Amino acid sequence: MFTATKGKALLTTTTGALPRPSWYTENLRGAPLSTGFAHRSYREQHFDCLSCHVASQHRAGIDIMVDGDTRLDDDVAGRAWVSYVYERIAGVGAPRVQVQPSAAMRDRGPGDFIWEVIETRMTPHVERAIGETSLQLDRAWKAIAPMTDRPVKIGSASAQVLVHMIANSHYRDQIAFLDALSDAFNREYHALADAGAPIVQVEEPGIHQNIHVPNAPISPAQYVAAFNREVKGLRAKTEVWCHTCWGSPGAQKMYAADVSYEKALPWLDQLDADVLTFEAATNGGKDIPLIGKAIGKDKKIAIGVISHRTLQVERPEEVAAMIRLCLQSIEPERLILTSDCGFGRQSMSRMHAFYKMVSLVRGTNMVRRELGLPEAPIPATDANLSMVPLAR
Amino acid sequence: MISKDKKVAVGVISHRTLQVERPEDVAALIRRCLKVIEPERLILTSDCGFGRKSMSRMHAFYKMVSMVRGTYIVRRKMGLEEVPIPATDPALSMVPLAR
Ligand SMILES: [Zn+2]
Repeated sequence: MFTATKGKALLTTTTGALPRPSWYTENLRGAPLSTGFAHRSYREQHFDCLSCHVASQHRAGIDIMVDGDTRLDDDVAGRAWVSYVYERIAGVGAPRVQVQPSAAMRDRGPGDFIWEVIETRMTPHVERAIGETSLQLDRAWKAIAPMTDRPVKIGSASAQVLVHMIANSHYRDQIAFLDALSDAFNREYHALADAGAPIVQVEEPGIHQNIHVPNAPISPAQYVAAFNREVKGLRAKTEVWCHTCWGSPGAQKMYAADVSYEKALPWLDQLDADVLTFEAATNGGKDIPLIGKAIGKDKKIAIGVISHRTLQVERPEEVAAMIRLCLQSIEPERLILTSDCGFGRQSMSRMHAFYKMVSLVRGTNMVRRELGLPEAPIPATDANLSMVPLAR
Repeated sequence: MISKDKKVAVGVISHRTLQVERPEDVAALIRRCLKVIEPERLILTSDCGFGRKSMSRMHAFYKMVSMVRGTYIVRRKMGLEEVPIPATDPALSMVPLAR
């Protein structure tokens, strides 16, 4: 159900990950989040990091805040996005030196950025039935919730991502493995929703990344069924977001060549979610008309108008132009503006991420003005707070 | 425009992007250069430096690798010398290669 975005037009948010402050040196290294929170130094750094993320999103005028994936370790190219999950699932063994069972690895080798990601990622095996999980997403939410009046979105790598990151030496096939993981994740999301989180973001379905893969072991229809199993019952409690993008370890695409959502859209439309997010800034919004046409009116659409793959900060005018393109096929009440993917995972600096957020809101404000919608105050643009005299 | 007494170093790798350029993209850009610049006068480089609070060391490294790989695609076609790139040595992979 719609909660945070209900009846609101042109809200702004980002995906989830934010660059870690350099002083945030503590890491969970496999420990439960609750154990980290019991250690004085970890607790201090984690909570202070959340405060920084809240302050920077507030200064940028962002409507729906993220927690920056603050629980994730400082690993190579954002390894912890997946390892945080597989280190906390009963039934999954220790990581081994092995290439993960993902089709995106097929044409990669030494000399590729992604190959070093693979070398450092380590692949665990599922050794017995998937049992208890300890993602503690509810705890992640409770840590940041009291810091702001704005809605906060908490997300996690999905069962569909994990099925490509864990070698299966227990279940009879990939579907059985995916189903077991989906049920385990469902319990975690319910705990998060029951804690009062207004938005739960599932990152991400396997559909768009695998629909181009010949002889994929899981079909689009099977991904849809498993995703809906993963989020079963959730929309009765909270707003469910489904994030999609073309990859983000170190801001790299998993498939180097240009790809399109076109074939995946009819399947994505069947997902049991309130909001679907799409990477669009990366190719100038080429897929936006297709997305607007294919996605049903019961869903809101969050379009990436800021790239996580570039360092040049987008000009507000460029952002506004992209939003106007969205509005040709998506109603303002159904349109949310976001980044293509998260800004963390060993990509840009905090300063880049911050000004990209500011630009996102400035561009959105330009369009809000045109539509007669209220603009979001952006403290970062307050001329009175300039540290150098302004030329008038 | 630039006269023959000067060599020209063209940026075929961007310091403003995080997505590492594919060697094929680098090679395509070099071929465009060769339409107007003789190989002896052409040097391949990055648009600007990789430091100054921009990308990580890992990004800068693979951008350098990609630049050399792309250059070798063109050198190979022209029968020019190729030097092995240690970073692409399969024997040094830290994970087993599927072959
Ligand atoms: Zn993403």
